[in-house]
Amino acid sequence: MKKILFTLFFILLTTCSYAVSLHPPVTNVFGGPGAEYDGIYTINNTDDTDIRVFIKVSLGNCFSENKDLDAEKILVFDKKEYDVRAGEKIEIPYKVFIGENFKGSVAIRVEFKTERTSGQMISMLMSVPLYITVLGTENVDFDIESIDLQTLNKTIQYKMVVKNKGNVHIRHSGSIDLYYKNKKNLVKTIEIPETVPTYCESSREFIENLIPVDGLLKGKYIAVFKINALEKEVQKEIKFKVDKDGNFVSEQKK
Amino acid sequence: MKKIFILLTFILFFTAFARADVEFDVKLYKFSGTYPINGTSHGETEVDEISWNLGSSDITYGLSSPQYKVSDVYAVIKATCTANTAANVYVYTDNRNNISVGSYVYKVTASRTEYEENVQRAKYNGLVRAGSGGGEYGYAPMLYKVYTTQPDYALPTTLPSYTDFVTISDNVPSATYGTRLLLDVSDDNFSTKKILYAKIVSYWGIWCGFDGSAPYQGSCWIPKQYDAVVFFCAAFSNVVSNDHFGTNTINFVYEVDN
Repeated sequence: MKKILFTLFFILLTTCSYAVSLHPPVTNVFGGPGAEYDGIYTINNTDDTDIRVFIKVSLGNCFSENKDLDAEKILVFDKKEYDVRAGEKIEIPYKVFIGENFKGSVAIRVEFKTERTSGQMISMLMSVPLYITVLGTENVDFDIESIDLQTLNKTIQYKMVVKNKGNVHIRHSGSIDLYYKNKKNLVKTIEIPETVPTYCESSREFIENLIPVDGLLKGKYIAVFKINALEKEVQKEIKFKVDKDGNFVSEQKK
Repeated sequence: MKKIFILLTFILFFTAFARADVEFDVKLYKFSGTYPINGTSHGETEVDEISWNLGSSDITYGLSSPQYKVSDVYAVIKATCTANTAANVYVYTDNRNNISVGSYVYKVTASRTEYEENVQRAKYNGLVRAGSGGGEYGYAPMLYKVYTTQPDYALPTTLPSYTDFVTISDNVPSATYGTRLLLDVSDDNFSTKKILYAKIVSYWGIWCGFDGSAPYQGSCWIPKQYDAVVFFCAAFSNVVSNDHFGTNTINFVYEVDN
């Protein structure tokens, strides 16, 4: 019994935190021109000291036709400063106004700067994005621009460059089918997890591990990359060779 | 009529992607070889500011060339983002304000490394002697060194040497990482390698200079679930007895989806 209590106490001790948390980390609002939305951010002060929270908004990576918009008029908070006592959780309401002239996507960066009222000479700022997709104006157009491979630390890595030619940001996920010699011999399917967005009218590199070289047979391989976002899927494949020592030696793009 | 039109036509739905929270905490402690991580204090003393005790045993008074001093105050960063994205921690000192703390006036340099109209201007970042009036005399740019708490990586039990801060090459951040570090450096195949762990980076065009005169971008990324420890070092010159140095507020930024 004592062991159980001790274990419970230890778990409690090691998992308790003193921090400021913010919810949600990423906000997506979809609406047509002229629409409005009411939302809430939640700040939870689990620290043992009171804090003051300052809010600031600015435009993020928007579609170029939206780059001159005023973020303060799109994302509106009743107040820009809140006091949050130790252990207190507060809700911070806001309104989103989608202008009649908005197109594609509008990204707003919302900053919650917190300072301890006790006077420590540090400030903490959590910066989270709010994305607005203007329905009826979206142009989803992206592609895999290039794929390169290299061997590093006995692992074949890939660098995939995603090019977003559309007017909304994309956050892709997908998979890589790795074949040996031909597409009848599937070696492995590697998941491409959803991570950071590729903003509209820009490219972004994604570098990840493909497969460890240990155990790879000598010969030719084909890697078929498939990514999807916003109900669109694109794919691109790359051919490469592995030598007798398991090293990636060359590639042949397709 | 317009409102009715909007009500009739607008399609609005909202997904908060309720994938938990962003959690962030930074605190300053006096170093004694242990770290208050995972909610346990280990007896470390929490302090309010980064102190620079420049006695004659620490520094040669009157020397014009920079002398480095490692502060025995460090920061513990606890950063968690459970959203399905990436998040980075940035550190910078905002040199725009003069502030008073206690009996000292902490003046900070009026300059910092930044870009203006695409022209790179190497400026100084960090702290200055009280009463010196700015970075033109006795400036002491801040250096950072980050240790991440990887499962397979032990945090230091002694303060880093100043050489750990200053022996850096181009584009290599002034940071020490876990064994799985990939630095942001060029190699033969890719233009850059991926940075996996902690970084100290530019933010809004403000660069955290490593030696105060070069636009080095220390680039680290604290992964979602891990904590980090940041040590501070500064270069001092023309110090005389009874000089007091201090830092302005150190800003830690946790940016999601960058």
